[in-house]
Amino acid sequence: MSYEINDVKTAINHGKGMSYHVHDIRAEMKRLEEEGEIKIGHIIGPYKEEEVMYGIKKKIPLDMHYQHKSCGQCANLPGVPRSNFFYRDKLGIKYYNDMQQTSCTAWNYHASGLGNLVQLGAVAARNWHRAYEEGYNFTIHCVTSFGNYLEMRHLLVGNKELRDEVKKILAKLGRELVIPEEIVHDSEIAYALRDKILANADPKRLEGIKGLVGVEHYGCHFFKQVSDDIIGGKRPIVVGGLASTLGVQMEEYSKWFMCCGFGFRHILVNREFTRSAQNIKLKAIKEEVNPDMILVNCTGCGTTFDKTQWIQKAVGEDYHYPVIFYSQLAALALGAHPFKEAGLNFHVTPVEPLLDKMGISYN
Amino acid sequence: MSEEVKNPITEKIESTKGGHFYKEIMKDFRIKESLHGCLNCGTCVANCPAAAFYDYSPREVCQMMIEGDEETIEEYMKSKIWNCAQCFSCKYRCPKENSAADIVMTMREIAVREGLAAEALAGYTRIAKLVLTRGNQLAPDMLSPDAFPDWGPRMIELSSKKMEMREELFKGFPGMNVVDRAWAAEDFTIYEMQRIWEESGALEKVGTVFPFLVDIVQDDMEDKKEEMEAKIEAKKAKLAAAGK
Amino acid sequence: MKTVLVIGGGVTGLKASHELAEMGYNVSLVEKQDYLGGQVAKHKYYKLAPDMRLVSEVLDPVIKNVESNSNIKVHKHSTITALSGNAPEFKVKIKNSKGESEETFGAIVVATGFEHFDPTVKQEYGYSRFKDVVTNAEVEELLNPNGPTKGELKRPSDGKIPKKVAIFQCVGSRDKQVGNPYCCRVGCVVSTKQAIEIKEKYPDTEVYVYYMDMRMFGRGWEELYGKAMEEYEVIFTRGRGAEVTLKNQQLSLRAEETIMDRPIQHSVDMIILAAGQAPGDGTIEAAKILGIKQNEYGYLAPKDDFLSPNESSKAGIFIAGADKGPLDVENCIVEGAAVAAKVASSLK
Repeated sequence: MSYEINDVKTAINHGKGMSYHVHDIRAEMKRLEEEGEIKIGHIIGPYKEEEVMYGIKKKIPLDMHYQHKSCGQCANLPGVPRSNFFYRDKLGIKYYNDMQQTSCTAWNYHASGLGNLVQLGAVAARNWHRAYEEGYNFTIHCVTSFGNYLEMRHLLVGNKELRDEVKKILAKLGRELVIPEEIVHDSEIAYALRDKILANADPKRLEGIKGLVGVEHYGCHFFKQVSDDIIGGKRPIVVGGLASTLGVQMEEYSKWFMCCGFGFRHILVNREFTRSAQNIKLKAIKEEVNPDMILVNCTGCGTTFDKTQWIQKAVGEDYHYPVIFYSQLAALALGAHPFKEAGLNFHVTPVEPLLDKMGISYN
Repeated sequence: MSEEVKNPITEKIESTKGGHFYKEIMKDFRIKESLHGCLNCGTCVANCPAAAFYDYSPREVCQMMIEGDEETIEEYMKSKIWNCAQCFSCKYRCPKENSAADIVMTMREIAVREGLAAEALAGYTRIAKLVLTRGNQLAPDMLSPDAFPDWGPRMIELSSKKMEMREELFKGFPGMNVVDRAWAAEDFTIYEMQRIWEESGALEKVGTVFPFLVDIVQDDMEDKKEEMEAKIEAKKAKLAAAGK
Repeated sequence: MKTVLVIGGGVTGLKASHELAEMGYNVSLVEKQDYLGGQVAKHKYYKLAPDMRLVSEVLDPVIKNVESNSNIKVHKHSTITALSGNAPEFKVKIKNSKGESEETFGAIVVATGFEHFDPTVKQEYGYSRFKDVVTNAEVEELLNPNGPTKGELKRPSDGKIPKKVAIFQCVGSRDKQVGNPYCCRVGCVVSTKQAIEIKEKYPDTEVYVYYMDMRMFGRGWEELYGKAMEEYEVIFTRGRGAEVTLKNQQLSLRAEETIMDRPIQHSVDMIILAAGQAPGDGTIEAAKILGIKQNEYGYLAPKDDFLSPNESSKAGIFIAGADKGPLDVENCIVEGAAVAAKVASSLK
């Protein structure tokens, strides 16, 4: 069924007499900052406030973006980081692509149980400190990194024992614990910038985007791992919100909530799970919507949807739904070359028919 | 204290509470956030992709940690925990705000530490090595077609052209056009990462599954130690100066 | 001073006003709506459990007792806006469409009641997006011959009578996610009652109740539960409704059959959400204006739950009914009588 963003943006206002539950980690961070327990990496430059759960306002930084890259995107879908850079270049946003950034190591952690919380916390804090020492706002490309950093912020703020262990390691590296004021995913930024992207878009490209039918899939670590600090409340809206602003007709399918089947380890070593979960998702997408594309914001989901449509031939299905990241759509709208600047040629599920439909040449 | 529960008629031991694994799991500070009693409502199972395909139940995970039966816990530690897809759908919708996914994560950590994970991690050598020696988790080179048959013939085609495709895409973006890692993290950065794994005890844990990897990492660290530690000392001095 | 202000014209406030008037007090009853009867009247409740008695048989006399008593002045469409002074001389500003006036009272009874929990925040149930997902309060209206469908259970999307109905228990209750870990105390019996009403009217319609525990502690409730199973073949499945989806105009629900240990998916024509109780806007507003304590969920807190159950944290201000916590109609009336006795003894 088609929907308006405001229809699904339901869970924000908690209504009556529910002060019992409302918990804003920012207040706790402020207290720790005053006590000298932690430092906060305050937002630099302009920001836009967007509502998260319980009507709490999250500040989305609009400039000076430290680009915390994604391992999976850089390796499998390099068009995504390239598009993230592209839309910033087009909008005149200053960003920093850091070669001193490490992986958050959370994919490895969730898949294998190697590593531990002190290690994850220290890796998180080291990357946060990189953004702080370079004078940028910490922003994240990868959904698993995003979920992990939300979780690490929660654990580091809530547990002195863990905090002390992490601080000890940071001191040995000549660093300190600086928790960013906001943990922000890149798709939240693109959503906050949607009107600016529309205003700067190439009218010809918008003409091609208009009327395309899209479905969305959100990474589980984007909205389920820590669910009270994403734009829109419990039901994510950022990808659909950006896409519909650019003219895509968004449709909902009954299995939108379900995991894509990536499973962190399953895509590597338990593939029958990945195939089966994909089968359920793709079947629902086909039967209920049959869209022009699947829009995603998550490294793992983007990989799974793009790479494993082919294997569905094993059960007699032939799917060809191009998998497009929110930022690739934004980059296309802003006039990016589909291959040289949006990297769509790295996708395994062919994007050419979609580009033809949009009237974008790619040779 | 361990506690035995007997069948009142046959007097056979039905379950044992408070065994070794139970105690190890309960020691982890996350448990008090992940488990607040359980209504047995089944919301978690209804939403769980792993429960749909495997003999795995997030409700059972919560219940077994409440009951503490060592035999059930052991069964999970040895195999069932690896079925969880870590999607956190259980946490997202649990009316008691439990998180079976977090309990499973705690159990996975302990399974690795206790040497129960060799089979589950058999396919993980390359990723673990990449994390510890390159600073990120994936590389275009890893996606060899024979390792990923599910990804189809187009993947083979792309794989053969990846060098020139990446060069074109990342013109003007130094550090991004690499194929042996996700991006070219600096040596100093990799060294910092290795130090974190060493200091946090995570490297030692890696040794329980991949002992040779620990040697590789330690050799790697040793080679650049002097230069890197000097850099760290400079950072420390700078931080101390800024503090004053 | 023998004047008492009663805030709230639901069953509790009505009963309290009547009892006080009978004892010779002058009562001003303030009600923000233009009708009396509170939530019972608002949602046109049809029958009462466990006796399946018509609501009108209970509500009509309670209202009539108030409207025909010359000691009671009813202010409909009115609210209180300010309080000054202390017991036994409270000065209260009462506002209506014509303006504001100040009156003096010896005591105040707060009977502002509850509001049905709004399930929109339980986004996974699709309420307010999927037309055939309705609340238990909306079903009362549908089943009432004086309601919009003249008593027919016509589903909102196409007006057809559903062949399969699922009822979800504990919507907005026993749920930390929405900040309501407490039990709504009426959902189980109301759903059982509605299931029987549906089966009585449409024997071919299948009714499934998805529950965690059936809490049948009231007078005759457990017997009603037995009757639903034995005589009406209502199917009770132990598992909480987890998700509702709409696929090609067909509603589908997910849950776990917890006795059998298996996840299930079930296609149905209509879903009724047994929405629990939440403290209403009126209760929260009254607490603010009167300066009386609320508990952590927003309900009004008695001075002592055991020893002074009808006294608020402030001397001379009394509380009763569902503004103290979830309560059924039968016990609201008991509360109304109890608070009247306490007010009378305090003004003696």
